[in-house]
Amino acid sequence: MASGDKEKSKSCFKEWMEIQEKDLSELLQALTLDPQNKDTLKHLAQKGIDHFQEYIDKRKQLARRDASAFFASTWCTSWENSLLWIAGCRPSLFFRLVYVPGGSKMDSRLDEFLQGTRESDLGELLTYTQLVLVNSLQSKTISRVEETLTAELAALQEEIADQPIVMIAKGLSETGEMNREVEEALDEHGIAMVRVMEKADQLRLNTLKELKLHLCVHKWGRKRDQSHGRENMDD
Amino acid sequence: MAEICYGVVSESDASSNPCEASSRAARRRRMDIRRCKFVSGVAPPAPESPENSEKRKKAASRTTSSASHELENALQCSGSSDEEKFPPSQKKSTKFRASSSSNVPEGLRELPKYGLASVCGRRRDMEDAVSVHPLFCRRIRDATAQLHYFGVYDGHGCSHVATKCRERMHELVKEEVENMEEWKTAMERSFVRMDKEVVAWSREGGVGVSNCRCELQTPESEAVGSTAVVAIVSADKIVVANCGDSRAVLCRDGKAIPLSVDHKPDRPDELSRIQEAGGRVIYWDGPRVLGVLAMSRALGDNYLKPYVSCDPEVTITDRTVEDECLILASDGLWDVVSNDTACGVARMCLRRERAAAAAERAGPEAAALDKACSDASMLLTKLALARQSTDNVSVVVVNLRLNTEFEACRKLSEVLRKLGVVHWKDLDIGIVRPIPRTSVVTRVVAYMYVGAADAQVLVWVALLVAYEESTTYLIDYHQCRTTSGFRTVHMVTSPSRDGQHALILVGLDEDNFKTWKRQIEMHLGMLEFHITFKHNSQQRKEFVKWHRANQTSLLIMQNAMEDHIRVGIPSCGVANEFMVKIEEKCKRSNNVETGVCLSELIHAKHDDIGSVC
Repeated sequence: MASGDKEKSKSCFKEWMEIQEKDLSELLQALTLDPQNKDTLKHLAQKGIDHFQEYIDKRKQLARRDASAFFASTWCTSWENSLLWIAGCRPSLFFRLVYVPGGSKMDSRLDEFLQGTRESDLGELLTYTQLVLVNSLQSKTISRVEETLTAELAALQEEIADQPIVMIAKGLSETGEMNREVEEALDEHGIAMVRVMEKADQLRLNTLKELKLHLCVHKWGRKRDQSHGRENMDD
Repeated sequence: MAEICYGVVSESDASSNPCEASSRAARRRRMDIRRCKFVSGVAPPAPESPENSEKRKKAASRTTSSASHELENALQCSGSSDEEKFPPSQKKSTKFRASSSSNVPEGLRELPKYGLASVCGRRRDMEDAVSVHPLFCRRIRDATAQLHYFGVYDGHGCSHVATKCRERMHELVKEEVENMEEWKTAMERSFVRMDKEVVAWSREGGVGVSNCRCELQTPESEAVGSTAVVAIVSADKIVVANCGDSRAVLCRDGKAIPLSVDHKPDRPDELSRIQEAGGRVIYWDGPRVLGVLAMSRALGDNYLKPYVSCDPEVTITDRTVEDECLILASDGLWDVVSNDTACGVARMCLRRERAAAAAERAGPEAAALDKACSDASMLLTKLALARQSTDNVSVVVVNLRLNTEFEACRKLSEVLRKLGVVHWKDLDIGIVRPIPRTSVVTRVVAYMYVGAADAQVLVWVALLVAYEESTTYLIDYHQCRTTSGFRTVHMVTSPSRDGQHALILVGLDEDNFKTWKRQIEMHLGMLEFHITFKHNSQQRKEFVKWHRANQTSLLIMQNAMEDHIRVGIPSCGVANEFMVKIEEKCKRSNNVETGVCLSELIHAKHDDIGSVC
């Protein structure tokens, strides 16, 4: 695996990070300047998603050449790597992030609400329907897809024992050098890994997209800030 | 998985039917349906055990105040009332009837108002289940009683026991309740049957469905269970059966009353029960039965039997007018939100919705209230999530407000009978058919709530509504304040057509007779009842309306005074004589009143600006 690929992967990641930071500052600016302007916010949120789409498309190409680099990226800290799930962050993490904002705010508003002095709804951060939709998306994402992908990855990681590792062991002990078969098996495995990563990326993207649909815009902004923050660390 | 439900409303409530005849008929039918033995007695707060509950209730009913005895007596009278007690129904008024009719169309039965929210939250697996079955059963013995079923199940180990409970529990409860002798045994039997079914079902490998995590493998499926808190709500009672650490909390007049007590292994009585059964409670991340399960009772959990029991604790609570709502929730809520806070939130949601509904008459009120319940359940869920609840959160909020015109009429009749002055023949308590339909009636109901069922206010409203049939009145309640020994009632009545006139009534106490008399006379005059004062007994028969006016005037006067004054005045059947007697009684206090005025004058000072303060 040429180190050129690794460099490319790294720069691809770095580039995306920069784009994210730019998006984030735009979003924050829009939020402070005109929090009521839903169109702008929607547009920015969509932009963020588009950029993520671009990123995963790009890294798909790169991963075809060297998948393992993304699963244990050298450009991330080891702590970041320890949090990775199939070369990125867990989609279920997004849901946790959705529930975080407003937590402390809600408590402080509660007293006002109970005294009846507060006019606006306490639950403005997440409406009823949103909660329902987010919840059903969560159960779908976690129970079906995320678990399936985890299982798939596990299977892949175990499968390696059957072919390449045994062959490597055999080959090394017998001939002292890797033969073509091993090479092929490893390539095959790499391709499978890419497939899993692509699926995981797709899941992350879809989850984001659906969440965006479900969340009202300024809520989305908040969530996005945070998920950016996390993704910066995670990826 | 999330479930959102708006409770359904009876269709005649929802439709603003322009057809008078049919809406009146529908209302009458509804009234008939809701005929219920309502006792506004005192219900005990949730006790620790069902046995206690029974004892306390007996004690409570023994010590019930004489007033509520009167109420009960009054009700028994009204309960037996029949057609001939009422004059033929007059146009423009719907008679309050307590007669029963058994052939009520099914579709018109009143459905409860509720809302529910159930979310996975921060857990990866959803193990909660919620079931709501309005009108789930009728008792054989008492066909008119409508029972509504609400249940929250919080599974552990896996979701299948909770799911099974959601599917089956209400059916079992139905079977038991239909033939039951008493609530407690019926609930206990259904819980035991549910438990047996679950255990047997998972042993058989789960016929039907088994797409759960544990996949019903034998050792694992033995360690699966669920809590269950089930509330049966009828017209006059709330029966709660609980097993485990989910909880039912009643919100009554702003106060939280738990109707179930969590079964935690370190609860003293539970601890001794477990130890007597030979089990142990081991502290391992909190107290746990055999160091495993953090609750002392549950359905399922076969391997922990008999230490973990499936016997529910049952509480039976009489409903009162002060009841606002019932909250059933899994520990995902109760771990992070206190009973009081939960009640406060639910209450505010219901209140605000009611205010909104009053402001906007166009929308069907009943439907709006259901939204309020849903809002409440969602808000509580979000609060739990915001407070970092790590569990699944399921909340059911049931509106317990007796918010129907029937209840308003019933309450009015109670109050009138309690006062012992009015007989049905004399006083046609009818309700002016409101235009728009809800205005008067809704407000009567609102007074009951706002004014905490203040007898005076209700009677005034009743009278005004009853005697001004020709004009449509909008009656606004302004203030009803009961301070120590002094009662003030302010009312503003505004006839819709001919301008406005205001009425302010001051309750008679020791030293305000003059003011009081002036007001009473003004008020009676306005109602054209002053004939009672103008004519003596020889002439009275010439007046058709005299009798009625006399009775009403008496009633008005009796109500507009403090109890201790009323007791001191000899009773009298004629209004003008009564007024004379009051005057005699107040002569002495008249001097007091003068004295008060004088002292006020003496102590008045000029404020250096231009007026007296």
